Amino acid sequence: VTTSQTNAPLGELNSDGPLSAGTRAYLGARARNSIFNFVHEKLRDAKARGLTQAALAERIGKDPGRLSNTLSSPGNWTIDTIAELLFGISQSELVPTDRPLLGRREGNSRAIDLLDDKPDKIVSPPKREETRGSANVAKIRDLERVL
Amino acid sequence: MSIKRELKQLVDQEVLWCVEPFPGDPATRAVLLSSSLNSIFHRAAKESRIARLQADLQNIVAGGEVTLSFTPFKHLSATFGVLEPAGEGTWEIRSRHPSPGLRVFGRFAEVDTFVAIDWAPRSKPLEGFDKKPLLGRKSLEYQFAQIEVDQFWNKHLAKQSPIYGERCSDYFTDKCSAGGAEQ
Repeated sequence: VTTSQTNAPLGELNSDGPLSAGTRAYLGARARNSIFNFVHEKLRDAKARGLTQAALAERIGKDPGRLSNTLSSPGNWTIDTIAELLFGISQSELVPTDRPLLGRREGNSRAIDLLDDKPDKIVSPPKREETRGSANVAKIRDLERVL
Repeated sequence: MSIKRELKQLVDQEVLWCVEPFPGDPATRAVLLSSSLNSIFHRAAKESRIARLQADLQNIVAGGEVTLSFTPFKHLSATFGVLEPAGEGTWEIRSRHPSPGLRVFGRFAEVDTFVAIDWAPRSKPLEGFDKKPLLGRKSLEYQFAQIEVDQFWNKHLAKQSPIYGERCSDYFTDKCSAGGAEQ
């Protein structure tokens, strides 16, 4: 029994067939959210170093109220918006890079597990490390095989 | 019974459905959907607007930046806006781009855990769905949505009070800032 929301675009993305309008829109929204998250990460760092939103607004020539609205959602962001925000926040520029969307394993976790009462009690078994002793045993076995 | 256990039980009973992040993304927050809300995502491939909503919900689950507006109906472009009366703890998730914007109504069961119960398009109908648009803040549709949230909560989570607070940290552990009109 599946208890999770259907991950509608996944099947299409994993196939070689044409992408539907929905899946293409999904990819667009993902990219938009990703850039929004990135700019906010930069903004959080800059604020920790003393940048105020008023100073940022002044630097990029925006009304503070309008800037606050812009920073609330990526809905109307253009590449120009991103460029001016990034420079105003951290004197940096956007450098394109990419990564595979499919088959990633990093950070793979399930939201349903967040509903476990004591997730911190679930401890994965420690990674088995080869001890010097076991390494020696392996070497001896290798030698025995050769001999 | 703890709220987590109660929510898990509702998921097991298929009363609630859990939004999972895209494979490879982390799961740091929980967004749970009522069955009626979950069912609209079966049409995500055909309806771009629903597909974008799915991406927005997954972004919340994966720990993306969210903005909260604490002034009812002055939310501007905030991700979450509280509905009045604010003390009831009913919020809307605001998926604004592109038109028609969509609103998802629900309550926070605890920090980083949102129970999404109903939805509606904001300004005009969404083709293929029989939901009327919300239009103005005093509209019957807004009231119906809030009643729906209230009834669902009283039926399934009556023993739990939704979260109500006036700071972002009352709702999310991190990556959350205040948005809306008076920020």
